[in-house]
Amino acid sequence: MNIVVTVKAVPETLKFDRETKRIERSGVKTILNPLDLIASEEARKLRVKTGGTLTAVSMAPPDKGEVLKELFKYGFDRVILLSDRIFGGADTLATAYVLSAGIRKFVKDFDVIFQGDYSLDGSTGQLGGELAAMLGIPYLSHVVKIQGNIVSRLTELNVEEFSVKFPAVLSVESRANNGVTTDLFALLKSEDKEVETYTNNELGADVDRCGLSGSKTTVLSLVQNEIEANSNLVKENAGKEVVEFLSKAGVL
Amino acid sequence: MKTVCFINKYNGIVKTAEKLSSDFFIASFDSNEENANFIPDKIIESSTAGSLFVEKVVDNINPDLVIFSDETLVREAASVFGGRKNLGIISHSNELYRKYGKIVGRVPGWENLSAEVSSLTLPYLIILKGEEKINISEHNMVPKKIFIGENEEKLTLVKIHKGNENPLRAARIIVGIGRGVNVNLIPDIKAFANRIKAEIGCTRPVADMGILPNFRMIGDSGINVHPDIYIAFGVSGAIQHLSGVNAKYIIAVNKDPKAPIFSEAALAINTSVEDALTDIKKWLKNFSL
Repeated sequence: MNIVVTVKAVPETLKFDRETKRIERSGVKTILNPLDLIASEEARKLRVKTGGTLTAVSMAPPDKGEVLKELFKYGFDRVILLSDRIFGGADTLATAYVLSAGIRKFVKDFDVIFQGDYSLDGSTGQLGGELAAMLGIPYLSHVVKIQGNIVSRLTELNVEEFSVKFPAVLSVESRANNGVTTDLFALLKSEDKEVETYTNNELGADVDRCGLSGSKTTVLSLVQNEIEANSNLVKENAGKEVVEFLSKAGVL
Repeated sequence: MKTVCFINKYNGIVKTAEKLSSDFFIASFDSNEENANFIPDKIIESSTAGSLFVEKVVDNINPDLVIFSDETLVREAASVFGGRKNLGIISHSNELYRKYGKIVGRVPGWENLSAEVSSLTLPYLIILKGEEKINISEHNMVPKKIFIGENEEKLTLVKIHKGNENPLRAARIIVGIGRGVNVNLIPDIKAFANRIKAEIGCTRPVADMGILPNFRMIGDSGINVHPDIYIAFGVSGAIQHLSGVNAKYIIAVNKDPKAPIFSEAALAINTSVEDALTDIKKWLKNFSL
């Protein structure tokens, strides 16, 4: 199978820039989104069984190429970085559009696209469904297991098994595995491999659907959640206070 | 303003819709639901069928606001629908209101900040937390069946391994465990919870460390709870956790006098968890259940 994983580079610690109402990314260490690495492990395991190619696709500023290079250690054959000023300021919809265009143009015969259920920074969990819609293929989230064409996923209550006619987009649940394994052979060869970086000159995506102009959501303001100091702190007789409270409430 | 709510098993979001607009409709993914304006002609099992149902209902009533309940299948259908129609989705919000002449979803963030997110496209698509079952039978509806058509069978549900209903959903009393609790004290907290017939819940770090199973995680990444009393041990009160706690009363035990949870607490115990537990045990002896 030809397997694709969409990977996001995220800041290790999350801080808001109150001016721009965006997550502060400069001066903060960048890591690969932990859930995308869990998705990468599912992809790696599937490739061991089925053969084929393993490709990572990411949309990020050009300096994130360094952290994306790490993916070669996990056995990725290709790492594609879509990077252009016009992709900046994208919400999930505009990101899904650029990724779908990149996968269509540079991967072509893909069978399955993985990603983590959500990203550490945005946490919207919308990318997979939007990407699937744009590529016109089915979508499943909360995936925990792939066996042949049977995909298991978690819902609020149950584990559901789906028979999937690939290609499909699968978002992987954080409990699917314990993280990606370094492939020793890949590790030896990883230094020689280069991240393929493409701008929109090569991609040729519709500029109106990219970045800020392609984004359909907007952060209007950041609100400080008000915390009033509680002046009635109980410093002793905790047991008495709790038991009396529960007793008054009819619990005891 | 015309509003439609998409629900599956839980219908808590209907309360918000009722507050925001009098002209609202309920569309249920469950083909057997009686208290809905729209139902599908067959059971919806996949995001493919779900997004088609959403599309047909939206075409039918042309709403200004579409609220999706934060359940796996509904959420999936929302993202596929939004992707197909190139519409923005405000996801992960725990509150919904009008502000600046727009509909705004409040999305919990970090550093005790929330983001007020709105959409640049219409209808507004919002995924809203509200995992509870409320009584909507008084609306006296006759559901209209929406024909979804044959699935392409690219995604076929072949087997369901039934799990149990999360006991936290219906719990009247919940004892919450946060990072401030030493692992050695957990048996004592469990004994206390048993004694007062409470369920145990926890914060995300506690679940992530594997101390308690994931289904007990409350808040942004876990479930929303609606107990009468929430007793929080060693819970600091980060917005990601408290956004999921909808309790009548909070009792908080924390040794940090500045813990944000104290601002929400009806009873704020500022001692170590260990001291509090020892003392509670002593006093509980006077009660027999």
